[in-house]
Amino acid sequence: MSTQSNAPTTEDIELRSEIDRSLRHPVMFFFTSGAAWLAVSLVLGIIASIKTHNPAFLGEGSFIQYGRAFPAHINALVYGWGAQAAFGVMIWLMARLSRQPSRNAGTLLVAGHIWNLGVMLGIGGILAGHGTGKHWMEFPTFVWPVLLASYAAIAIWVVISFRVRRGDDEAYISQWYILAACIWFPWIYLTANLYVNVFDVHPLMAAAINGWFRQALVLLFFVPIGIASAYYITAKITARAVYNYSYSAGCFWALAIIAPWAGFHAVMGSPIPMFLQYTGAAASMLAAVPLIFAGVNVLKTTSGQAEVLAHSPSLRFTVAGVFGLIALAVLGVILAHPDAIRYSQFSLASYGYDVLALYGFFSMCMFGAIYFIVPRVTRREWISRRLIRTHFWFSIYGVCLILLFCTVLGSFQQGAAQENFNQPWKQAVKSTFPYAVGITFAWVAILWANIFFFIHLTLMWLRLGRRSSHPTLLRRDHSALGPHGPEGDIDELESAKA
Amino acid sequence: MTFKYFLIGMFASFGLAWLCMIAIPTAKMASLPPVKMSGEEDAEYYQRKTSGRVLNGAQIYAANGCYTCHSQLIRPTYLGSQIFRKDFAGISNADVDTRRETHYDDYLGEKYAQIGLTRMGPDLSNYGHRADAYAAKTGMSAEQWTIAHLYNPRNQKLQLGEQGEEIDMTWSNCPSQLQMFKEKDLVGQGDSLALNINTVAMTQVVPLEQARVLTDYLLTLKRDSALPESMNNAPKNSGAAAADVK
Amino acid sequence: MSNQFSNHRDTPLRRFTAFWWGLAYFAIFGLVSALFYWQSGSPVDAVAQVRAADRYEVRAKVDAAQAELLPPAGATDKLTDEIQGGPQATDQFVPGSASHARAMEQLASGGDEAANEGFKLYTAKACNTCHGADANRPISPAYPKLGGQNAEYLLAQIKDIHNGVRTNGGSAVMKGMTTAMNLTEDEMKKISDWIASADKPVVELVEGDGKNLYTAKACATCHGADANTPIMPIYPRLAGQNSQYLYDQMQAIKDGTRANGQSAVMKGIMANVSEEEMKVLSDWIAGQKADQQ
Repeated sequence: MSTQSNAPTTEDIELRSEIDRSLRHPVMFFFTSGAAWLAVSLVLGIIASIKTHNPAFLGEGSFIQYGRAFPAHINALVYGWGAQAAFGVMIWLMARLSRQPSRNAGTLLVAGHIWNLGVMLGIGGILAGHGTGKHWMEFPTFVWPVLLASYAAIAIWVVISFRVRRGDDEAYISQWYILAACIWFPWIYLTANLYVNVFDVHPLMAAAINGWFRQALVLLFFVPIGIASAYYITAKITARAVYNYSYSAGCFWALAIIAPWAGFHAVMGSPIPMFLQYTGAAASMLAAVPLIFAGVNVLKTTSGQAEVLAHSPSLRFTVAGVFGLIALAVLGVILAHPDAIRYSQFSLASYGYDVLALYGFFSMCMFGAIYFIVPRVTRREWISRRLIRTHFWFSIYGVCLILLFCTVLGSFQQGAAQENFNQPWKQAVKSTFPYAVGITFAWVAILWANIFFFIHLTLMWLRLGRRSSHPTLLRRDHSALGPHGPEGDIDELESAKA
Repeated sequence: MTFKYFLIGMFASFGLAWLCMIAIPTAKMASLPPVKMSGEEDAEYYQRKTSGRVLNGAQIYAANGCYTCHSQLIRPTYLGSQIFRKDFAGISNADVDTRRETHYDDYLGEKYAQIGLTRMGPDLSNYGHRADAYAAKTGMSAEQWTIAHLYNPRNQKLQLGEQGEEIDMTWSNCPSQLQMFKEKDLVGQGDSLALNINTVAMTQVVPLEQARVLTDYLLTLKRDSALPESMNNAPKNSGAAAADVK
Repeated sequence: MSNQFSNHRDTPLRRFTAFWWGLAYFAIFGLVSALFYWQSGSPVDAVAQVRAADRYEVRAKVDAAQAELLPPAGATDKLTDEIQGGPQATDQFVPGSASHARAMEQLASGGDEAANEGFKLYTAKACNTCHGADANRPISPAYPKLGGQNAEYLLAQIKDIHNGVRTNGGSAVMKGMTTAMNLTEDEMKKISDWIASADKPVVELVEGDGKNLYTAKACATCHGADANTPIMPIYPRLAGQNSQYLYDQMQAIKDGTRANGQSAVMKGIMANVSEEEMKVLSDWIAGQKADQQ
């Protein structure tokens, strides 16, 4: 976002606060219910992870056996947390960038509740033994139309918001990314569900389209929203324009052209047409290009701003997320190569890729956005910088551990042991044990981080945040007078002004 | 970039991929032509035969997440070596070698090919043959062996080595499917599929319908039928090269 | 206050169109997928179809060969007509069926007052239990059909049986019935009158051994050449009577077991008739064809 001057006009401020106020209910709902689902997903993830090295943990009850806990964990992460964080950021960001208050907060809130209901029924269905067995689509089949309908009720307002945007400037790159993600989600979700759950298709094609769905959801929904949020946060906080606008537009179109072809390498080696397998692999590898360029573009926007990075939680999370994006791109290249697929296809590598995409990149960007948005929407500041720091660092530890154990070390080790066909199968499983334990520790670290986040967010939602005009920064810089004006209770200051 | 070009660009970029990768391949896979077993005039067509309650069992397999740890795919040798692993790809002994990679008709009867996510457990493409082998070693029927495995995968009595010694199974992290079993009073001679474990006197643990249906499905997993000559990738001088022209 | 008036894009029309076009754009690939799938169809089992095509080919060949071997259509029509037109071996007369109800109605309503009363008596006195509801369907071939019989003959027989003058065959059983039902002479008359008015059994008497014997043994002189026109009303009509009954009566009259009425006269004639001849005669009078014995 390019600003002619750093000082916003009064009109701008009032407009912004009006936009924030109009969306406070749906946005806070999406963030808090999303964070709740994140907590659920992490607990399920830990249980699932422990079950891989200690199957008798918590008894032999069927609803938490690995085969049910693991799909429930992933689906809660994707639909419970990922989608709702995306929704919250989507509606707020589009409203802000379109400079138009929302008039449909009620509809958004209702739709959000219906989404939550759908996810609840879905997770309950999986744990009760009614999962469909199609990865990332394990919700019982009656759930997906409910989710799609409530999604439409949410996303249509984003589209309308874009169409009635104020001002005659060219639309911001974040707006294009968000609009595209809004449109891609139903395209991907509806197409995949129709082909896999409704139409009568060859069983291998159903499995292949499921693989496509997973990759497409990452590359065409989570990635664009994460990038949109990253561009906005970095530009806003560093008060600079995006490093290179034409790069960002080019990256967008590159992603749009390449990403829909990706994903079929998930079923490489199966008797589906060769063209599908190898095109999918090639597209996944090629998709690294727009991802890396977008990441570099964002990082360049923040270059020379180490101070700001050290202070601002939003920027720190976002930049960490962008590093995650670059790591994701590189990992995607590695894991899509047929020589690597030999070892990694049936190992924990794809799980590591999913976690990196959903948590290492997307969630970190979303946390950055949430730390930015929530104070503006609730008109309160975050209570404790320590909680934010804990959240940040333990997330980083967890992501790095998972990256290390799941994908880099564990998976190739596991794959190599599997390939060693002269050794009994026991070797392949035993070699994974230490990494399975490591993954459990990683998830515990992430849960630890997010417990504090959840508490923090809930307190903010209950409007128990700090009443201050100074944002909560990660460094305590004592300055009575700074760019934010005198420190004091935000409401008092406002009434004093008026 | 204007809104109009944006919409057109989105539709075109996604649509081309959709058409080439999803719509057309699915349509083509729906009408695969029949293949003759050999080039001869009156050769039979290749038709894989299945039996058992494949569809119901596949649903139970999916609902309990077996696919999260077990795969059902024998990849070609340029993508993986599991075809050489004992018992994964078929029967291989002095007399006969039926090992082969997965064929597109192998998932016949199921709606969704459960290729699987990871291989924490062994590949199940030819589980039927493995079950027969285990059952022969331990003196149970294949059905009994599978049901006993579902109850307790770490049961050391199920895996016997060359000299009949018990093989360590503590490394297995396959979940026990206890919800598929029930303890019932022992009546008469008891259930033929009751588990051979010590319960309180006068009761026995019997598998419920779920276990039987799942077992039925698992025992149909024998994907080593002879392929037509045109699709047989076995090396010329291996036992599997000669396709059975029946 | 927001300066909404400064946003020229925010119009209700734009919102409305964006809403509907937006939803349509969301759904477009779902629709396109559905159309494409509908047009391309669900998976076909190609091998099963090829095999089925083979089987249909074989079936077509078999059908053609069979069609060649079968007689042309209409070849059996004449045979069918003959079978259906000839006398029925058995009559389907199931109580409760529509034909039964019609027949009963006919019986109850046709004729005059006296005849109707006779029919009611016939039914009330349980004569129908042995001789049939219309007096023409006795329950046993040894019991006589009565329909259309001469009234005088009938009355004479009922009296003779009731009084113990006639004792052959099932007479004892019938005596028990008439006694149990307390038949009065008046009732007997009415019943006989009604029976006489009932339909005669329809029968076709063909040429052949039976007819020759019938003439040769002088049966025709008393019972009529067609066995249906006896010279005196006290003699019974015979045509269509149950073969078994006829045979039994001939036997009984010959050996004297039956001695009522004009039996003595007939006894002399029967002395010349052997058992085989009696059989041929009774079959012929009953209306059976020679080859149906």
